Amino acid sequence: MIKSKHIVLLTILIIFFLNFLFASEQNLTLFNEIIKANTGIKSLDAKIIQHIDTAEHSREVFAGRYIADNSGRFKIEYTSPSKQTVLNNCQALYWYFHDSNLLYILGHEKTNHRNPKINPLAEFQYKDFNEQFKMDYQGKELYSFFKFAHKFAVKDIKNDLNFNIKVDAKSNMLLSKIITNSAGMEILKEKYSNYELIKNIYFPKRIDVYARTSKGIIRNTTEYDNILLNYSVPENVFEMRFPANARKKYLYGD
Amino acid sequence: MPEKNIYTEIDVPIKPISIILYFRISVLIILIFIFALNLFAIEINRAEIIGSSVDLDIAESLIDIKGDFSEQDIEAIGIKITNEYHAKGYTTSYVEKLAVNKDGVLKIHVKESRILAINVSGAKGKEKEEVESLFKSFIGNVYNRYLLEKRAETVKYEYNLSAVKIYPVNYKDTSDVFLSVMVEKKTKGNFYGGIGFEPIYGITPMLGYYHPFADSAVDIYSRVGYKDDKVRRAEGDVKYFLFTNNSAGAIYIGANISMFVEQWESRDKEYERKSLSPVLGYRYMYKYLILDLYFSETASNIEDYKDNDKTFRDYDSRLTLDLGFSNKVNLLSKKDSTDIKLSVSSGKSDLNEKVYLISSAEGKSAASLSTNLRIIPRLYSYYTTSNERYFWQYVYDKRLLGFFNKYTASKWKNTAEMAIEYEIIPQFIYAGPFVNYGYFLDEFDKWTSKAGGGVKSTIELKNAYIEIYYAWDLSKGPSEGGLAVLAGGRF
Repeated sequence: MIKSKHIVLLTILIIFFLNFLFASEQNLTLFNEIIKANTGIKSLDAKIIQHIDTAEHSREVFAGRYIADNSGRFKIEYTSPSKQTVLNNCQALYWYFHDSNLLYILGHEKTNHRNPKINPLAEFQYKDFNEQFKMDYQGKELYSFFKFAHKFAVKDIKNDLNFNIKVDAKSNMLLSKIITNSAGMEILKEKYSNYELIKNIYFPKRIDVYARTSKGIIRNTTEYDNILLNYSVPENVFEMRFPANARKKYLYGD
Repeated sequence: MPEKNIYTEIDVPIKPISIILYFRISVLIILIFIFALNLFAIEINRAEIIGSSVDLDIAESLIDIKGDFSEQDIEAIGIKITNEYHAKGYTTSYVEKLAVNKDGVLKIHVKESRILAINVSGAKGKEKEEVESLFKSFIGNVYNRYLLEKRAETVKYEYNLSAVKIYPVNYKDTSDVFLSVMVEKKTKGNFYGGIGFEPIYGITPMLGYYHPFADSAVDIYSRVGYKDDKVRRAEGDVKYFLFTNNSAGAIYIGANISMFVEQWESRDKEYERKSLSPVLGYRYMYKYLILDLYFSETASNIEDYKDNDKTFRDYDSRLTLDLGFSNKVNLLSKKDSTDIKLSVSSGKSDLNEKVYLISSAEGKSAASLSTNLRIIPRLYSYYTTSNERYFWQYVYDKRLLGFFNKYTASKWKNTAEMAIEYEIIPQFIYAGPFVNYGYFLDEFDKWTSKAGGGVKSTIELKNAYIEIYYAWDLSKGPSEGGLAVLAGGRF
């Protein structure tokens, strides 16, 4: 009898030990699966409405058409509040105001920029993930109405930042990403919601971004409609077509 | 005998040098120069930038570098790289050495200047810690003026500062830097205020002014309540804060002068009190916590309190400890904050035979059900050992809405509220239902429970907000309800 008790106890201990041993690897696999699940979008064309609230200005609503590809290039043709064109061609960010024929150039032209990728978890797509990041799986939690989310805490060792990531446990789609500094202060917060299945890809029709910037806390809510995914974007979309006589203003960027 | 002239003057005609000769000499000089250049030219097969960790435009063009270069050409490459560093904001980094090895490899040694440490001056205590934390992520990175200036702007705005100046100082004898961040506080004051409708005191405008000095500040505010053609509340308050060495703490001294017209529910009559209350206190802030300990001595004239047309003079000495917790500072979305406030006070007054005790606890949190839907629970509890109505709290205030024109006061009350807030227009209009429940001892010393509810709408503007409530007694109906409006802002 005593012997069988010992065997049961030993078995439990072995299971716990193995679970501990393989848990981190399983969690990393899960995290990689989640990153992969969010990489489905290669290009995007949609109508957008943006609600931008900065500490400096009153809330503004922008509407227009947004085209982007996964190399980081994007173009926004705003129709409201006025006709404006925003172009990021991986060299600089151009913002052209048609009415005033004014072109702002942000960043240094002919400089390699870090561009925002369509995949919201692109910063973790490094082959040296373990050298820069330390990932901790924090289990599942209930969110919304009886849905479960995986929770991850990822420490960026190099930059001393913490990423808190929540993904839907069923679809692996990102729900929120919060970046905090070492003092626990939120620096950036992104919320992804109203997911719709388009071409077998879950796409968030609403993205909320809160950021602590030089202008104070900025909140940007973008709502997407008439969404076209993964089509071949003609190269000329990202060509600069601003009038030669446009008044240019250069702005520093990092 | 005349001296013999041994020299004979001969006229030699000087012929002009022909143009052809000039040309020949020039060609010869050029050939000599080219020959000399060839003697000092250095053959380069490729170039390597050593010690660089930032993206450089020039790096790409150096990959295919090949050919004969003079010393000046090589030096120009070094200058170009240094210039690019500086243009990109890395103003303390530079090309330290250029060397060509026997294989023809040009080795460009770059000295990148890294930030080794940061010191913040001009701020103290909690503020200093927070500012330091916002710059801490730069430690170990290459010094970049633009990025630091950008962060300085953020800090300046976030902490309402006059300026944030950054000085890189050479770290010992190395090329790395020690970052000196100097914070300058604003010497300009801020007005703040609002207008609301309180169920008890009516339309209540409030105006305040906060003026900071180098190590101190003054806070002044006044408030008036007007209902049923009568001023039911008038209050003026002034406090002078003297920040202690670490600035996390402040000693303050002030005075409050007030007039209130209060309503008995059990006796169906009003009484009025006029008070003057000097206060001395100490406030301490640590991360999410605020501790406030203060002593007040209040002299009051109370009219018609128990006996009609009689004035009672009351002297009250009270010691209060408030403890607050809020994670609002760290959050980007303030609506998601958790706030807790605990208060305990004890004192002696002419109205009470014994020493009295007052305690209260309040908590609020928020949970997001989805991006535009959040649930907000609130709890509140108040208790006093005093049996005097004067020390009791109204029950049907903003924490228990739906019961207008009811004035019962309680020595022990507990309220709970659950609100659902839906974001109708992003960042602008929010609305949703709420229910609030109260369980309390009424003025007749009887335990009573009441439930109210209604709809709340919030409009958020740049520096202001408006909250509109329509609430009613849930045991009756919406037709029995009333409207309450709250508005506030900082300007």
